Amino acid sequence: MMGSKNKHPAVVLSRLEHLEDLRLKMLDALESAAKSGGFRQSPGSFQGPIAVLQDTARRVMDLAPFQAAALWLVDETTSDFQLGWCDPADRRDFMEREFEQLTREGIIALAVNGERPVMAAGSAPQFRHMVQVLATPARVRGLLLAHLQGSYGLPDGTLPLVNILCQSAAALLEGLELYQLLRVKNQALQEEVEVRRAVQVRQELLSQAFYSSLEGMLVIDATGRILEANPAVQTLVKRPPETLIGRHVRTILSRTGTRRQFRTIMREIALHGRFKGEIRGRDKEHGDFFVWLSVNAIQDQTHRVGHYVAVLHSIAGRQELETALMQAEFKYRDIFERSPVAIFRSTLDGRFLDVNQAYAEILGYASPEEIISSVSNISAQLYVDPRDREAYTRTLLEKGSVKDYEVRVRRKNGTYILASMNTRVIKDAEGRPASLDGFIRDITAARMAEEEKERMQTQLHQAQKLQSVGRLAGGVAHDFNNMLGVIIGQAQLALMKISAEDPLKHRLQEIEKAAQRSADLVSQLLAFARKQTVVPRFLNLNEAITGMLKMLERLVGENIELRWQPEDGLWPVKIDPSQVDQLLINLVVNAQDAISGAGVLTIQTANTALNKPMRFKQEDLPAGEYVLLTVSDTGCGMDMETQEQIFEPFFTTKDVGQGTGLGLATVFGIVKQNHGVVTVSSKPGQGTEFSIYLPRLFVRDPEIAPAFAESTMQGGTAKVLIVEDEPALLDFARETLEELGYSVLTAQSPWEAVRLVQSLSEHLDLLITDVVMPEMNGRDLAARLQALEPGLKCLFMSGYTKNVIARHGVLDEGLNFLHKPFTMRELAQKVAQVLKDTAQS
Amino acid sequence: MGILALEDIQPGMILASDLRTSQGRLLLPRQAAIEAKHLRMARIWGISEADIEGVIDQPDKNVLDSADPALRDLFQEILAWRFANHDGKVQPMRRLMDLFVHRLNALAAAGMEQDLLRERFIGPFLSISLEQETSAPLSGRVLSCEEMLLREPSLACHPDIFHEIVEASGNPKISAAHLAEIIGKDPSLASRLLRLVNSAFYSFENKVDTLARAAAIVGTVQIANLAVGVSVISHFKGIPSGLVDMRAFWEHSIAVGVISRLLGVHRRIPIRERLFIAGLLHDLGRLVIYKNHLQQARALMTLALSSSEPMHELERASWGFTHAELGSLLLRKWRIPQVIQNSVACHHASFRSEATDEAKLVHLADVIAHALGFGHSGLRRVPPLCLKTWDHIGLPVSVLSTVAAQTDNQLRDLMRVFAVS
Repeated sequence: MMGSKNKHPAVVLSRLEHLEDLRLKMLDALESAAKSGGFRQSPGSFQGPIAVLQDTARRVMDLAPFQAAALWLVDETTSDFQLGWCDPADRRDFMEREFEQLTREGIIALAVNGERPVMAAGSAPQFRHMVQVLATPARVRGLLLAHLQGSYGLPDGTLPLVNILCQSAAALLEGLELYQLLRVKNQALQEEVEVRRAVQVRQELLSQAFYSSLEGMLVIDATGRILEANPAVQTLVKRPPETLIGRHVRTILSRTGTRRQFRTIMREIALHGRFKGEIRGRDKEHGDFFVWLSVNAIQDQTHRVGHYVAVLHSIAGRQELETALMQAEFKYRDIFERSPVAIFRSTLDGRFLDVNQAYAEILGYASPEEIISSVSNISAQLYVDPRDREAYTRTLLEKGSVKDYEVRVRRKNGTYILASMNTRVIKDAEGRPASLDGFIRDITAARMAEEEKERMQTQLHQAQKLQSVGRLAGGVAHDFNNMLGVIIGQAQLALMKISAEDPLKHRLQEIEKAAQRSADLVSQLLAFARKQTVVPRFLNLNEAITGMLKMLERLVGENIELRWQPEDGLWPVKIDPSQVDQLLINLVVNAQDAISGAGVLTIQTANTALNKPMRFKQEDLPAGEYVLLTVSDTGCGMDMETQEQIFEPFFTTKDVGQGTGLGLATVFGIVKQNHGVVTVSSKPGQGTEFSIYLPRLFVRDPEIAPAFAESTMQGGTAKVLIVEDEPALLDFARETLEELGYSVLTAQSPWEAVRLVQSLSEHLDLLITDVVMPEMNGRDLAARLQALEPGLKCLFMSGYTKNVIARHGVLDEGLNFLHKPFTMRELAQKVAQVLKDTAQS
Repeated sequence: MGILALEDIQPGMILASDLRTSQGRLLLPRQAAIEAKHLRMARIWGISEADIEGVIDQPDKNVLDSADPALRDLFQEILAWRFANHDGKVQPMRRLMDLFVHRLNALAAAGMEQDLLRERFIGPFLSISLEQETSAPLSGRVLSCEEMLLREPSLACHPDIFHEIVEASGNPKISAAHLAEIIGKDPSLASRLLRLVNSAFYSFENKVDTLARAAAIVGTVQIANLAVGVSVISHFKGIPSGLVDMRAFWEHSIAVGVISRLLGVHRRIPIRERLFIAGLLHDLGRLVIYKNHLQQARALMTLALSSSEPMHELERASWGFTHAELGSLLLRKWRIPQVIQNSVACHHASFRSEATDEAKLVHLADVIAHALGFGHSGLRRVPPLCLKTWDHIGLPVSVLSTVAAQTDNQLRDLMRVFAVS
C-alpha cells in the first residue's frame, strides 16, 4: 500500500518507468520459465526416473549459479531417499554428506513436509543449500538439494521457478510410475480376464454336465437343504427340479420311515464320508419307488462338511441286470457242476481252485469239496509220476494250452487211470500265467478197449486166415472127398467082383478102410472149417473107437503105449461118428504133446448114472444116464490156470506155429453140441485126464441101422437120373445102381439134366443130385424137374454144404440126404428108402 | 507400550504400531524391529516419535546423567539458575532441559571453557559502570507506557519505512524496485543494506550498486527481513553492553523469530513470514527501556537478579505495564500490522482471550529460545511456560528436538547476516 504523499508527477513518472521496466522483466521471467520448464514432456519420452532427475538437475543448474544440484528419489517400497542424480557427478559424495547433515538437523524434514524451498546453512560457514521437495498432490517423490557456495542470495524468480521445476519433475515421475503401473496392471488384467474366462468356460461346462446328466443329481448344503437339482431328477422323483430347490432332502424320502432312512444315510456318511445304497423315495401318485442313491460329502477349507453331492440311479434296469447276472451265474454254475465232463481249475503249482462233481468222481472222490480239501499237491498226490506234471506244465507255459494230453493219475483208492487232458493257461491282467483251466477224460477203458480191439483184430485176422485156409481146405477136401469116394467105390466094386477066399480081398478091404479113414479125416478137417453138416446117429462108442485104434496107435508113435479099456454093454449114444473121430484125435494129439519121451495113454469107456446133477466148472450135468469116455495120459500135466483156459479157442501152450489152439476147443464144441460135458483133471507133473460125458441114447431108430452090419443090398426097377459133375463118381453111382437093376440116366450138369428130362418120353422116378453145383443148386434143379415130372422123388447128396438148406450144419430130418463119399450099400439103401416113401418130394 | 521420542529410540526396539509419515506413508509395520536406517528415514520424513513395544514410563532420568561427569556441578548450577521458575519434571520443560544439557555438552566438547559457559548462561551480575549513566534521575512517579514511549527518537524519523518494509516482507509479490525504493528513503538503512549485500558474505562478481538490483538478486523477502533487522538494529544502537549484550539480544530475537516460524510450519499455520517478524520484534519493548530509561531498567534488573520472579511480573508490579505492551505500542505507532502487534503484546500473556494463535506461538517460541540458550534478552532466566497454551497448540514434546536442530541450522544461517552488520 502506498502512501498518499507519493503522487508528485516526477514520482509518478519514475514509477511508470519502473512499472514498464518491471513488465519487461516479468515477461523475461515468464519466458525463462517457459523455456526452462518445457512442461509438455510426457512420461513416455523418459526412459526412467533417473532420466527425469538428470533433466531436472540440468535445468536447476541453468536457473541460478548453483555449485551443484543433486536429486534424491523416494524408493516406493522402503520409503527411503536414494540419491538418483548429481550434477556435476564429482560432487556426489559431498552432496550425500550434506544431505545426511541436513537430515540430522531436521532441515530435510522441513522441506519434505512443506512445499516451498527451504534455505539452510551448510556444514561449513560459506555453504548454503536450497532444499526443495519433489512432490505431487498424491505423494512425495523426491528431493532437490541445490548447493550455493560463497553467495548468499538468489535471483528473484529462482525460488518459484525451482518450485515449479520440482513439481513438474515430481509429476513426470508420477506419470512414469503410473505408466508402468498401468502397463503391469493391463497385463495382469489381461491375464486375469483370460483366467476368469477359462474358469467361466469350465464352470459352464461343469454346469452343463450337471444339467444334462442322465443321472439325477442334487447339490445339498450342510444343513440338508437342496441347493441344485438337475432335470434328470424328475424322471426318478416324479417332481420338477424347481419344487425341490430350497426343500430339505428328506422331502424325497418315503413318508414312512423318513427319519430312519435319513439317519441311516447320515450315519454312513459320518463314518465313511459317503453313502451308497438303495433308498425308498416318495411318490404319492404312483406309489413309493426304489432308487439307488450315492452321496458324497464335500469338505470346505476348514475340513468341515460344506456340501453334499447326491446322485440318484434308476435301479429298474439294475435289478433286472442283477437278476439276469445271478441267473446267468446260477446257470453256468449249474452247467459246471452237472457237466458230465470233468472240469477243473487249478494253480500252476498244483492246487485246486475249483472242480465239478464229474471230476471228483473220475478220481474216486465223493465230492468236489473232498477233493479240493484233500489234495493240496496235485503233482505228488495225483500224478503217478510227478515228472509228468513238470513236463505238462512246461508244455502249457510254452504253448498256452494242451489237447489230449495223456497222463496216468491215481484215484482216491489208489488205482490208476489213464487220463486225457485239455487244458489252457489263464493269464491275469498283466499277462502273467495265473491258473489252469480244463477238462479231463478217463480213457482207461477206451484204451483197453482199443487194445482189446487190436487184439481182436489180430485174432480176427488170424481167424480169417484160418477161415480162408479152411475154405481152401474145404475146397480141396471136397475134391479129395470125391476122389476118396471113387477109391472107396472102386474098392467096393472090386470086392463085389472077387470071391471071398481071394487073397486080394483083404488088401481091397484095407484099401477101403484106409480110404474111409481118409474120408473121416477129411471130415474132421471140414468140420473144423465148419463146412460139414453133422448127422448124429445111433452109435456104439466102443465099436467106433475100436475101428480107430490102429490109426491112433500110428498117430501116437512108438514111445507111447496106447491102452484101450472099453466097458462091456456100453450104452449107445447119439453122435456123428466123424465127431467121435475128431474127439479122439484131438485128445490123443493133446496127450501126445503132453508126454515128452515115453508115456501111457489110456482110453476108457464106462456107463455112468447120476442120481443128482453134477456140477462142473463150466456147467452142470443134469441127473441121468451117461456114457463116460475118458482119455488120460502120463504127461506133464497142467496147472489150474491152464486148465481153466484149455478149452478156449486159440489157447495153446504150444509154440507159435505148432498148433492152432483149436483142438480142445473143437472137443468142447462137439461135446456141447451133443449135449454132453467135458472136463479135465490134471496136476502138473502128474498127467491129465479128460472126461467126456455123453447122454445115453434110448430110442432105437429102426432106420438107423448099425453102420458096419452087413446085409444084402436092395435093388429096384425104377428109372433114376443121377446128376453129378464129377465123372468118376457119376460112373460109380451108375454102375452101382445098374447092378442093382435100376434104369439109370446121367447128367453132368443141371442144364443137361433139364434138357434130358424135357426130352424124356418115359417117366422118371428118382432124381439123385449133388446139392452144390456151379450153375444151379440141387434144390432148384429138383424144383424145376419136379415141375416137369410131378411126383418125382429126390435124393440129395453132398460132400459139404453151404447154409442153403441147413441150419447149424445139421440137415432137416425131412430131407433125403446122402453124404459123400458114400458106400455102395449106403447108396442102395438110401435109394430104396426114398423110393419107398410116397409122401416125399 | 509407549511413545518414545526419536532420539530415545534404539535399534532393536519393536514397534507397537505402524510407523507412518504425516502423509500416511508406511515406513515400518508394527511388530517390526527398528534398525538404524529406519531412524534415519524417520528423520528425513520428519517423524519425531514412535510407539514402542514394551516401553513403560521410565522413572525420570536425571537430565544430568547425559552430562560429562566433570561438568556436572557446573551444569547443575546453570540449570538451577535458568530454570528457577520451572518444575523440571513436567513436559515439555523436562525435554527442553534435556536438550539444553546436550547443547552445553556440545559447547563444552567444542572447547568452550567453564567460565565462559557460566558467563553466557548465568551471566555476569550488574557491573559498577552502570553508575555512570547520564539518564534522568529516577523520579518517584512511575511513567506510563505512553510517556515512556515518547522518548523514543525513532518515532521522529520515517516510521513509514518500517511499516512498508514489514508489509513488504510479508508480501512476496512486491517488486524489488518498489522495495528498494522504500528502503531507499532511509539512506542509512539503504547504505547499510548495500554494504551488507556487497560484503564478502554475498560475494557477487559485480558490485551491486543499487538497492533494486540488490533486492532483485537477493530476493525481496530476504531483503525485507534484512531491512527490518538492520533498521531495528540501527535504531537501537548504543545500549550499554553491561546491561545487555546486543549480539545476544539479536540472537535471541532472531531465534524467537525462527522458532515462531518453525512452530508455524509444524502446526501448518500459513503466513509464516509474519511469524518471523513477530518473533523478531517481540522484545522491542525491552530495547526501548534499555535505550531510553536506563536507570529504571537497571533497577528492575537488580530486583530481578535477587528474586526468582519473572521479569515481566516485576515490570508490571513496578510500572504497571510490561515490555510486551510497550513494544506493542511502539509497533502501533510505527503502523506495523495489528496481528504482529497482538503477537508482541501477548507474548507473555498468551492465555488472554485476545491472544491469537500467532501470539501463542511467539510465547512458546520465546520460552523455547530461552530454554535452549539461544542468546538472551538481559536476564538469563527462562520465562514461565503457560501449559494451557502448550496444550492448546498441541505439539508433541518429541517435536522439540527437531525444532532445536532446525533452529540451530537456520540461526546459523541468519546470524551471518547480522554478524556482518
